[in-house]
Amino acid sequence: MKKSVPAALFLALACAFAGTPTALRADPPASAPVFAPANQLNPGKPLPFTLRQVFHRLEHDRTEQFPFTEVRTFAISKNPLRQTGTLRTGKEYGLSLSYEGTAKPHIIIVDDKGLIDRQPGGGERQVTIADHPELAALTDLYLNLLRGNAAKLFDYADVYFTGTAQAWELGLVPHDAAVAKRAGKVVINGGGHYVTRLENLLPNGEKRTLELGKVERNPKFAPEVVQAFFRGQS
Amino acid sequence: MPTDELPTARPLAPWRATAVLLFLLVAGGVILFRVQNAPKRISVDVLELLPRDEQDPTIRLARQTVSGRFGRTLYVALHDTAHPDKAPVEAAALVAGELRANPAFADVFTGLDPAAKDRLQQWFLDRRLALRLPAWFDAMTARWRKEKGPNASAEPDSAWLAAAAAADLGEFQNTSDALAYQERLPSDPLLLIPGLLSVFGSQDKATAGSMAGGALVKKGPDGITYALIQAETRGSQMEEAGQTPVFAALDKGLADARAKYGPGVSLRFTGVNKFASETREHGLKEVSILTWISLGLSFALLLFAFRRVVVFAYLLLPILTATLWSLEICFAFFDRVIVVALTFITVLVGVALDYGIYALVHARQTAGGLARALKEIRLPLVAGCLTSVGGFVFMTLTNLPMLQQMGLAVALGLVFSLGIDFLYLPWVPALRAADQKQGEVSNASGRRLELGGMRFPLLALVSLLVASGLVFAARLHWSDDIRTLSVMSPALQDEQTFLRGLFGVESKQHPVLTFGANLDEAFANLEKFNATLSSTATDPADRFINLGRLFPTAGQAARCREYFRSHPRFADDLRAALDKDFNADAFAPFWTDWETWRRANDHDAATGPAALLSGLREVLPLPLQFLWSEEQPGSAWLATTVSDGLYNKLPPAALTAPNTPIDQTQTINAALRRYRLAASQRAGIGLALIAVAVLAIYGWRRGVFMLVIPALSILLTLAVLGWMGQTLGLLHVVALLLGFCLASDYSIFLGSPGELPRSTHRAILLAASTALLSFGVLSFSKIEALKDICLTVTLVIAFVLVFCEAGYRLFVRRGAV
Repeated sequence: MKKSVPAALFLALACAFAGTPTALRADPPASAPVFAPANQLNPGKPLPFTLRQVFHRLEHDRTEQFPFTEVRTFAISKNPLRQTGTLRTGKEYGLSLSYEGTAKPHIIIVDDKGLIDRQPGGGERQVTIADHPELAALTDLYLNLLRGNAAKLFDYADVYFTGTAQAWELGLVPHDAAVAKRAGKVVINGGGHYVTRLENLLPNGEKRTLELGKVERNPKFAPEVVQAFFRGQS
Repeated sequence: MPTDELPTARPLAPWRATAVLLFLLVAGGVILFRVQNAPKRISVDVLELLPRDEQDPTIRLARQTVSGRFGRTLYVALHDTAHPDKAPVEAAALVAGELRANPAFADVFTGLDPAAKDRLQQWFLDRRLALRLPAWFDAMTARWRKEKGPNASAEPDSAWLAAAAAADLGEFQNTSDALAYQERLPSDPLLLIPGLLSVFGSQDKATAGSMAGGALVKKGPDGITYALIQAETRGSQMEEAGQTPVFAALDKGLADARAKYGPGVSLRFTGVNKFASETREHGLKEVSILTWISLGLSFALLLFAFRRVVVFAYLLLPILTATLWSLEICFAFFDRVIVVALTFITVLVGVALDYGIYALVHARQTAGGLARALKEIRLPLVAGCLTSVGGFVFMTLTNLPMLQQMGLAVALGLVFSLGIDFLYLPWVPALRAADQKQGEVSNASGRRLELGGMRFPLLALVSLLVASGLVFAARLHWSDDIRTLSVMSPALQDEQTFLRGLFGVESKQHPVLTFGANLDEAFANLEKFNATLSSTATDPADRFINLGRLFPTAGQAARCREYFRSHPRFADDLRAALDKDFNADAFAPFWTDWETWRRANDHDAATGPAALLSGLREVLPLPLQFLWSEEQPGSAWLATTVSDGLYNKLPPAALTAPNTPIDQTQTINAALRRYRLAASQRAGIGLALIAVAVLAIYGWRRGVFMLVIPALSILLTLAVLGWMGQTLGLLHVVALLLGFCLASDYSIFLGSPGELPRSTHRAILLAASTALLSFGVLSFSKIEALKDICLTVTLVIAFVLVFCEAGYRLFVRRGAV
């Protein structure tokens, strides 16, 4: 007889809410010039040279670190919100956004297990892929981009590309409706082999822009850095 | 057929007597199986060991719960052996569809689909102000007092409250959730729904599986990916309605899934019904195998002793008839007979056999055959039988169903068995052949016990045995554990653990139910329980979750109502505060909802938290329906899940009524202890009365001789069990009683040998050996309860055998008794 109120039952309730905002969006995502039909790439054909170079670099860099400035533009806010911090990526560890220039510093970690919002002082909130399957597509999209896995990218999104080697623009429209609602259309800008800006375009003109500073390629992350900024052993 | 070997009055011819018994046997069988439907009334529910009118409210509530929805849940997992890494979601959908259409099922759940999520979230969103505003206001009031210090007013200033809410919203916009929540913010600038989510920690999100292709899937520890279905049966799974039709529906679902998706599709399930059905089969199968082995060995021994096959048929016929009819009466008195009691009844055969053996052995030494033998030994037979019956009759005076059933069936079985022996055996032609060997040491039953020169060494030996027995018996540990009474097979237990693990039910969390006469009272009790839980939680890992943490308490609701009634300007203050950084008009949906809520708050009467549950049941998927219940009239409950660490820190008083942990092992064990003490007391009184009767019938010296042997055997058995480090419980008390009854049978036979001490000795040897074989074989049972009983009785008989042999050689053979 034992045990019959599963703890996990409550979790379904939590899951329902965690999924709420993404499920209710109705408006189509905002657009950008890169999403012109002529710019859509065909998964069966070779990638443009510039993009191949970008993916080649991404594929070979094990770790990267950028300073970033994030600007959030929301319909309800009178002014955009600006935050600064450090973005760290590692093939083994995933992606970490450390928000430092804000009243409440915190770290967002995205890896193949899900998402962690780590607060200063040790508290953290985890959103696992097991609880939120829609997150799997989202993290796969970002992590494949990070790993320079161009072929996999086509599994999760329609890919658009335009521009020159000095100033190019990559657009992604996620296939999964839940991901599309959560991340919107993704626009990635770059110059040469490097990404300089990442933008999520959401309905109602809302957007989040991540301006990336000078990249530090293949920095060695000490164990304490991994522990602090990635999932680590926790 | 020499007439002098037969009784003078013979109402029935031998074949007619046999025919009557055979008729009784067959009729008994038909009534038992067809009319009384006995196999379906055998209970394997350990909770039925306790009386229905059990006074402990915790146990009473636990019984109600098990018989309610908890006992009707079924966990089903499908996998495909051809594709172990891919959950057969289409096959699961097909099976689930068939189960939904089957009237044996009340509800079937295959996962929280997006539509169900939408319904659930909309329910909470529509009620966010009523549900979450009181807790939000309490938290803000605490912040106000902390910020403003001890001189601040008890309630926050409306402008401060509005400014704090706007500041919180500003901070929220910088969080990771903000992007996803923008759409809802116009309706929820106070962040009531994100506040609702903060009640849950990441530990609470250990999932019961994830959704894939519209089905709940989970990779098992065996590396196989399963598609999961949770179902609720309409009928109780302890009964037929929740078993056969349910099993048939699952079989059909699997067959259809295999036909459509390939033969590799497999289905595993667990539920109380499988548990009940397979346990019944397993328990009965094992008992029947061991009983047949035990009977077979006993017969082999008797064959060796009597060398005539037909003898057993004649001996067995009265016993089987008596056993069958004692069961008839037992099933007539009790709705359900507990399997442990039933297994105990099977050993009755071994005891009843003793009477026949004793009579037969005497008959072979007596000129008058069985009729004369039965007449000569009727006193020890009746005395021995009454000794056993007396002990067991007193068991029926307890209010424990298991002991009542054992006591009634065994006592009746013994009386019937001896009665039929007296009535039937004299007419048995096959046993009339006399093998008279007169000339044994003549021994008048009235002779006094003479110890002579053996007095001192004998007393010294007995004292030594008693002293050493007491030393070891003092090491005994007495404790009752209801789990040892379960007859569930280990394989079934493993299967249950595995499947429940897939559904996330086997985590280290403890479900506790908080009861009340109605839901509002249950909520009030839950508030107190939550206060205890909060004050006991000292570690971040100490967690608990229940509806009481999502719903406002009566106090919170009242404070909130009063504040916003007396601060009507709050909406204006909030608008002004928001307008600094936000577009206040963007929150139009909130202003509308606020106005509706405020008007209701100003005019409507206060309602309890239970009123807020209205309509929730309709949008909840099956697993979430275990959050609360009001299905039992006059008894509602709310469920709490408490983390292992916190549960272990709770004071015992916190887990007594109205709070009831679903795992009632400890409480039930305490109840079993009470019943053990009661059973010991009653059996002790019964045995004391029997001892007085034996002393009265046989006199002081002979009576003591008859009583010392069983008493010493019991003491030494306890000593051996103590030496083995055994933990003794209620069933051991029953076993010791049975052992005492058997031992006193033998000692009474030995102490009253009549004219034929050698044949008495031989009969005892034979009877004790068959009993030893019967109980010895049964002590190999995997059923803990049966094993405990039989091992204890085997030890008692072994000691009795030794003492009887010593008694015979020292006293009886020498004519000292």
